Amino acid sequence: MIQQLSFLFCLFISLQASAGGWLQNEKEGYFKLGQTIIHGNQFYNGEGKQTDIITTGVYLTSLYGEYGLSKKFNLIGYIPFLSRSVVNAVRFESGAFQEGDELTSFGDSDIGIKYGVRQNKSLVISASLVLGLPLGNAEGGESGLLQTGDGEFNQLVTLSFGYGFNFPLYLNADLGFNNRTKGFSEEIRAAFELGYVWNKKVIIAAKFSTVQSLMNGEPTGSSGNGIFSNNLEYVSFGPEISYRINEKLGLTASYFSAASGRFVLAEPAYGLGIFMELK
Amino acid sequence: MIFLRALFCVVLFSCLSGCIGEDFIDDGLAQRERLSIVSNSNGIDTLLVGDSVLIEAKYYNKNGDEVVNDLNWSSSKLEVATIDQNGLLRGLSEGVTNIVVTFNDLQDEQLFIIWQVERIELDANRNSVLVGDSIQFDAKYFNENDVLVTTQFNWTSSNASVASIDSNGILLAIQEGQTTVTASVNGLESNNIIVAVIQDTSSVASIEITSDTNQINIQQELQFSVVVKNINGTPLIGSNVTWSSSDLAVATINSGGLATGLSAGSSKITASAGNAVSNEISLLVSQAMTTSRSGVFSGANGYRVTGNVEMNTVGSGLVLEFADNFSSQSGPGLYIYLSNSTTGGVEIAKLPQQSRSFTVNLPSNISIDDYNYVLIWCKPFGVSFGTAQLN
Repeated sequence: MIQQLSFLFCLFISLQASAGGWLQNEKEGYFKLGQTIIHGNQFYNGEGKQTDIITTGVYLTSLYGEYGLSKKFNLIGYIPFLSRSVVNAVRFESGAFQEGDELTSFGDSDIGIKYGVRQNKSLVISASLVLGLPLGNAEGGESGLLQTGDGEFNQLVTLSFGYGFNFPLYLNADLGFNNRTKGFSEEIRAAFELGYVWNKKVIIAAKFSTVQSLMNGEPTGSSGNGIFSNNLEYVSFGPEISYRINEKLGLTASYFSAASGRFVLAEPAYGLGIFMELK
Repeated sequence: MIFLRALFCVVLFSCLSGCIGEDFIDDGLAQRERLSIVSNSNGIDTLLVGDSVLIEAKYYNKNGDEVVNDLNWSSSKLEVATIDQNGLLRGLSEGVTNIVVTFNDLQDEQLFIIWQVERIELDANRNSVLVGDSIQFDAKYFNENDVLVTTQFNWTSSNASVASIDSNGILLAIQEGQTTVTASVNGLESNNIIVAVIQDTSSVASIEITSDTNQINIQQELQFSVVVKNINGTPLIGSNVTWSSSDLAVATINSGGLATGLSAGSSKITASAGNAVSNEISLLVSQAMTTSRSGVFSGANGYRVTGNVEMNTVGSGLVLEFADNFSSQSGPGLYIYLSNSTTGGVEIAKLPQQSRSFTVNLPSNISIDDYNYVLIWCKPFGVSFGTAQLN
């Protein structure tokens, strides 16, 4: 579950930080330290209906970065170096008590490369290949049931479009295909972002993202941890505000709702971050 | 520097914010109220005429606690046995009575066979005879210590014009008809034997009825068989047989010999044809004692669980038997739960990885009617993967 949520965060964070269709200039970069939290007891089950589960929390502290290797290539990486998941203890009406559980470890990370197909135009296009590295823990906690990774190596290919309007508005659109291994279903990922830049200091963006499973894997994936781990889907949207403190540093805050989904927490994701631009 | 400070802050925040909390969940274990008579027998108990016994019943409230309350006791056959409001049962005469205990809307019941140690057992080598022939009857007297004692009996034939009986128990057939023979000592009477006196060898001379069992539950049916023979023991085909039940409130029987239990108690089943009357079978009808329940799994919350499960009584214990066709999607921390709802419940065992055709023993404090659902439950996250409602 946690692993899947980390993918969710990965996408969120990518959306927060990514320049979409635009590339960083050569030897320039964008780096963001972020904290993302999902916490709650509502869960979208396999039928897409909300149901109660034991309160679960996921807390991700991560670094996201894009660096211009050349005019055409960017190196991109996402490292959840502190991935913590907890599940609450339960006191039952009958008097029984069930211990909670927790896991803190390095999480599944991403590394990839982005290629500028068309740049320096109103409409920019880029393509990226991101490899999901199974660096997290697939069987953690006292129960061995918590995860910060699934042990699965996936490859996400994304085509990104960016369009800058004459007035301070921009539009980003991403369409990706996530090839997954070890019995997990492949995924289609899509994201849209409409942003407004105010006074070169503040960016207000409305973001939408979705993951749709092709349902072509095993029901639970070979990991066997089937409650959240395969055929996950969601539709999420929400605002993000970025504030540039000075030429190099800035702050971001975001809120993404889980409008619908399958096998995913039906709880909003809160994000805070500080970013640094290398110029 | 600012970036490093921010890094320190977010790590600290992450560690502090991700503490384990505590949820409170109704686990479906709020017990049903229960009222049950304490008995080691299988729904039928015995008591001697003249003896008394204190019947105990236990009431459990919704918390599963045993609570002492004023229970209401009753006996269905007051001429057989009485019971007071303390549960003291007194045997009065031979027979069967149904003891019922109630509290609010709860009820439990138990059949009691009241029998007498001091008795006369009457027997004959046959119960039909040709006019002019005779039958030797045999009577045995057992005293109050259940010891066979030799004594002189008083013999009676209910229809002396059909057959007479002398002081040695020899019955002489006089004319065609039917008579009932009884032996007695000091007011104590034997069982009755009905004798058919027939005119010729083509008449019905004997009827024998049989059944696979003499105990059924309410609403349960039992087929009786009958064999009709002439005086030479040759079966007669197509004889007009009439079936009867001595207590139609307890059991009925149709013209085909199919009996149906209606209420708890005992009824004597007999058949007759011509002047011949069959042996009698005392049919005991009792409240259904559940010994097995079954259900079929269906998935929940989008997870796949299929197949059959049975809860069976094995000896003095209970087991859950998962059939060959049982299959569950794998998942984290899957357990077998029993519950009275489709969420939560009492944990029974971890679901085996090779999850088909296996048996799980249930704790001794669980009764077969305590829970109505078997759940495949993801324990760490509190999510049902599938449920089977027990019939």
